[in-house]
Amino acid sequence: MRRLPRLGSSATVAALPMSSTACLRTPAASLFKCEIALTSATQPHSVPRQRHQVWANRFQSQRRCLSSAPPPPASTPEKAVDGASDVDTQNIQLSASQSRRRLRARLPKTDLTIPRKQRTVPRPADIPDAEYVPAESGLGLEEVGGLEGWWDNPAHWGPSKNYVGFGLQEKVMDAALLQVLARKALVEAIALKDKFESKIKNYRRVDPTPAEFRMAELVRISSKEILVAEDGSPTMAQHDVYKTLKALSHRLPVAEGEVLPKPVGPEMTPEEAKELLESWDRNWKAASIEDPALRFYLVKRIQRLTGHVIPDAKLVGVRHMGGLLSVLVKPPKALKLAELITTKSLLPTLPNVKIYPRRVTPVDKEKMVGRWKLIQKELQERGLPVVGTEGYGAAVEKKWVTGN
Amino acid sequence: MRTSRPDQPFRAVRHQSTSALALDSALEATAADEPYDDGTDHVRFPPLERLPNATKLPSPLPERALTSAKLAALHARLSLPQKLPLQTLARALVDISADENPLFNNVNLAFVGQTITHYHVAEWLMCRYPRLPMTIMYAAMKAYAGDETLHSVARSWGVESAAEPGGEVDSGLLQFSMYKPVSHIGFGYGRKDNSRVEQGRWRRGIANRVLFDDDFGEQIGYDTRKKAQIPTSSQRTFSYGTEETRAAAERAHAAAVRAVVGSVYAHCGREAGKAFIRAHILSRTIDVSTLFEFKSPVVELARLCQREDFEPPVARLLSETGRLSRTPVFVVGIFSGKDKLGEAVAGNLDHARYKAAMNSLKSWYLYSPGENVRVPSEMLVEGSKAWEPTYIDIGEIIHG
Amino acid sequence: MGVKAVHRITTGRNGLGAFILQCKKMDFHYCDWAGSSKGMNGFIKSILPKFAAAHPQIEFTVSPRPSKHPVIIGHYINGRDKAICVRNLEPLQILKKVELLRDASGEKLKKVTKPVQSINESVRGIWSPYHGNGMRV
Repeated sequence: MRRLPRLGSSATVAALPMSSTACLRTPAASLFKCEIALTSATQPHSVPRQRHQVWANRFQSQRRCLSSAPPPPASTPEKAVDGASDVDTQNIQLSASQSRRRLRARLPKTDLTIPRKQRTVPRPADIPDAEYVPAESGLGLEEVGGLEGWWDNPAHWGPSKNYVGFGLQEKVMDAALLQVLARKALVEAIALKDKFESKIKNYRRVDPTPAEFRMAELVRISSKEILVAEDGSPTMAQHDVYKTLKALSHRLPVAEGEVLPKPVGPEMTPEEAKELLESWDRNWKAASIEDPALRFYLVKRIQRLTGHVIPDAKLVGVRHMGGLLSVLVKPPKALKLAELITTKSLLPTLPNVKIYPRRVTPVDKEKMVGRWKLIQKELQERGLPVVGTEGYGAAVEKKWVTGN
Repeated sequence: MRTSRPDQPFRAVRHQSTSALALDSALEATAADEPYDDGTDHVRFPPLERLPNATKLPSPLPERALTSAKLAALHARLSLPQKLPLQTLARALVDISADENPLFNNVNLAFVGQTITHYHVAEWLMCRYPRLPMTIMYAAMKAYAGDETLHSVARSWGVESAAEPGGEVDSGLLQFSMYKPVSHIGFGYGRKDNSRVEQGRWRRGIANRVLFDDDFGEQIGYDTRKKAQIPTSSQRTFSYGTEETRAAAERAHAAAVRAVVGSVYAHCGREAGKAFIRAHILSRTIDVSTLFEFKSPVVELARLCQREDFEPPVARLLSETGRLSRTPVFVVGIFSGKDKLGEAVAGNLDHARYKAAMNSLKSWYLYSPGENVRVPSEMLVEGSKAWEPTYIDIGEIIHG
Repeated sequence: MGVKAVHRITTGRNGLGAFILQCKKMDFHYCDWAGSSKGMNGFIKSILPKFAAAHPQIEFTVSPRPSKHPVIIGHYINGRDKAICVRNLEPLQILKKVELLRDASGEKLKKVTKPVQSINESVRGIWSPYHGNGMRV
């Protein structure tokens, strides 16, 4: 997939070679011309037209001068057709370095890697070889270098252009770890909800999106005491709310153009999570999450911390934390029979029993009796595909047979 | 064969062919570490067994014997003792045409097995039928322990063969190549020039065969079936089910059976080997009287009576019916004095006399001291009874 | 030369000396997903280990065949094989089928009309009209 640069100003767009052809077809010695060609390239349909003209040797003013003969003067009919050719000839006199400096000054600061240095082809007059005959047409000439596929190279893209998702890129799948993170999310959601309801005036710059969490912080925040009221609504002590908000606001919102940090997975092993989980009493799972604000913050935090997006359809039916956990924590996938018997049965220890983890294909059977290597060799000798039909399926074969 | 390197300790690197010997051992090791490229999609169909680049090897590695269910089942099916390791059984299934390296094929085991088998079959036949003529003795030996018989023994064990030998093949399959020209190794004394015998310039009599030739009285390195037609190399590549391929399959199966006998003997000793032969080879049956083919039985019987100082044999008509009918029946008996030596029924008098003479000769030749005769090898057991001399015949009837 | 020999080979008599079970291999195919394999999966988990341990002379292979009914295939020494589809059967019913395959000889099914078949010749001999006192008509 070819990526398009996300650029703020139109100036950069103009400076960037969008089409390598347009750039390459410019006279080598004049970068100013390149600029002009580029500006014209931004107009719709102009690039193909120019390209066509270049190939047809009609785009005289911007013809790539690979010949020793001086470029013939542009004839008037082409000049009329060509919008880009009415260039002030004085500008051509500008030196290349001068124009490059001007161009660079125009470029905004960016972390994109932009092709700057361009090697130029000697002018026909500079070529000492007397026998050199300039080409009259670009048709059939070999194309060298160029900027084709420049933006397909990921190294030319700055880190600011990388996609950073909101949720954790790699979903947390372990059950205990998910529960610990869900509790942390609940604690933070309670604190954020309190702030949302303007109970707290401090911590104005609370960022609800910090994603890096260290072990100590994870334990500290998720272990805050959650008080479940009679009606099920969870609350926390005031000082706990403050501490949580403080932890959340330790990071300022991301500045304009700054690279967002990638969310990092929790620094906790499943065993540690299980231990932590067992140290809490279970009534936090009875906490009601019917309050929309709480629910909103909770789901958002869960997405950020675990990478799981809980679909609205499922969220509708969830009334308390336990229900949410049952949506969040998937039961482990059932083992396949082959895996089950290899781990838990007497069968694999018997010498006369062979257990195959997958279907035994005809190729496997041929391999077991040693015939496959012969089949492979004979097929390769005849230039036939070893496996599959390589595009010559049943339909094609039928065509051959019926002669259609 | 191996080049020892002073700076390197001995490594178990497999050199199975002369071309492999030329390779550097390190190079070969890396080649063997590469996974076996079979041209299939290894992501969709991960290999069932992690094989070394097995097409390079002529036969499976010995350690793969431990993972072969087929081999374990064969081991149990033959009731082989636990002392006999699966690796040896796997080696017994590798024919010389699959792997020429004697460290990995079954030639040595087959030699031991053949010696033991032939000894037991010969002593058993000799004690049981002491008067068998030498030609019939050879035929009976071949009927019990020949290639064709052992081929059917192997088939009755459920030994399956690989389509083509190679390192990726299951160790429980018999590995041999039908099309690889292999000089068939026969065990016995070879003659200096087989062609001279063929041309009739050298006489090859019975006494001669006892001295030379193999245990079945057949020339070493000379296949009687080869005379029929020797296929060209192109025929050999593309034809199935020819005389040659059948002979190659028989040889390979027989060698495998002999190798199993040899490995039983080598790992479990003499008595186990003997019991194995009794159970699988001597327990088979054949009517020995069907092996005879007489040229002139009447003359031969007369010579016999002369030699044994019996009265000369006389044919007498015992009963008859329908002499003038379409299907007459004559019952003719041969008498020596008052003793009836044999009788036969036939459609005419001459035929009946011939048949009666044949029956008389067979009853002489097939004298047997009993089903369960003692054989010399029983004396090898500690504390066995004293040996009673067994009956030994003076020899077959020779006439001009 | 007086006597010439005819080339013949001996006939095997299974059970006299050594007994070779005629079923040499059994394949068990199952599907992880389909309901018709439920009994088969239970059989493989619970009964097959004991059965396989009791029959070391049979080679057992267990392999999945996704989206297919469960099948047991018996391979025999004579080169033939027998396949039984065991869809929707309970483990104990499958055990019956497995025992059937184990005890089969691999031959095609045929009607046995004579109770005893033997390659040995008759001990009493064949009756002859030409011997003895004869019959008075």
